[in-house]
Amino acid sequence: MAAKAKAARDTAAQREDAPWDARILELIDAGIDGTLIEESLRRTPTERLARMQAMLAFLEQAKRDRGPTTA
Amino acid sequence: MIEVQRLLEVLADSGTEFVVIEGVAMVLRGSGRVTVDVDVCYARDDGNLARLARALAPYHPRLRGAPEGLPFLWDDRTLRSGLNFTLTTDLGDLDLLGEVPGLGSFEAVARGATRLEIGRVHARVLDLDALERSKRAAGRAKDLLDLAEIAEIRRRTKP
Repeated sequence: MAAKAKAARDTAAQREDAPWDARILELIDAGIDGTLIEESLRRTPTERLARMQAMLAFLEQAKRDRGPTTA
Repeated sequence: MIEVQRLLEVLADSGTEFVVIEGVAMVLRGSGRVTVDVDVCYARDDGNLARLARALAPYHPRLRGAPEGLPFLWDDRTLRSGLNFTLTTDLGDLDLLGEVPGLGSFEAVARGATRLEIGRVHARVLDLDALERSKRAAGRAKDLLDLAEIAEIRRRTKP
């Protein structure tokens, strides 16, 4: 029982010492797509950049295809 | 659309001392995100300012978001009189930072970087530890997501 209470106190202390981002990320799901990162890590830096450029080109094209929007 | 590879080649070919930071550094280190501009930290010595000014001049750097017609002279004197510049160029949006929050001046930033092969360029790119320090210091909402990604990249690359 005492060990359990001590562990709880330790966790709280660790949280106080933890950087601001760690404390927030403990409370929320940041929605990071691990498979996307896994896929990226299999590539070379050159390939990672090329993939990003391709995605940007796709997004630009999609924006153009959508045409002008009305307010 | 930003031409990241071309911008890095232009800077590297000119001999400009720079470190790739922010979103492009995140991508090069394994993030799955997309970024629409290039951010670099640059050395502030006279020689480097001259090289940087010469390298970008053909691509018509102008202040991003400034009113049309606002006079802006792109040269090493302009670079010397400022520190951080948010630019639009013919190759896309480029942010030039003389210092990075959480890291400091170029020399400190360079210590937190390693060279990566990017196409035919070997460019200094901020490593995960330095990215983490800079993101933590900046403290914006988007930095929180980057910090979560950095933690995930670390988890997946831990030996």
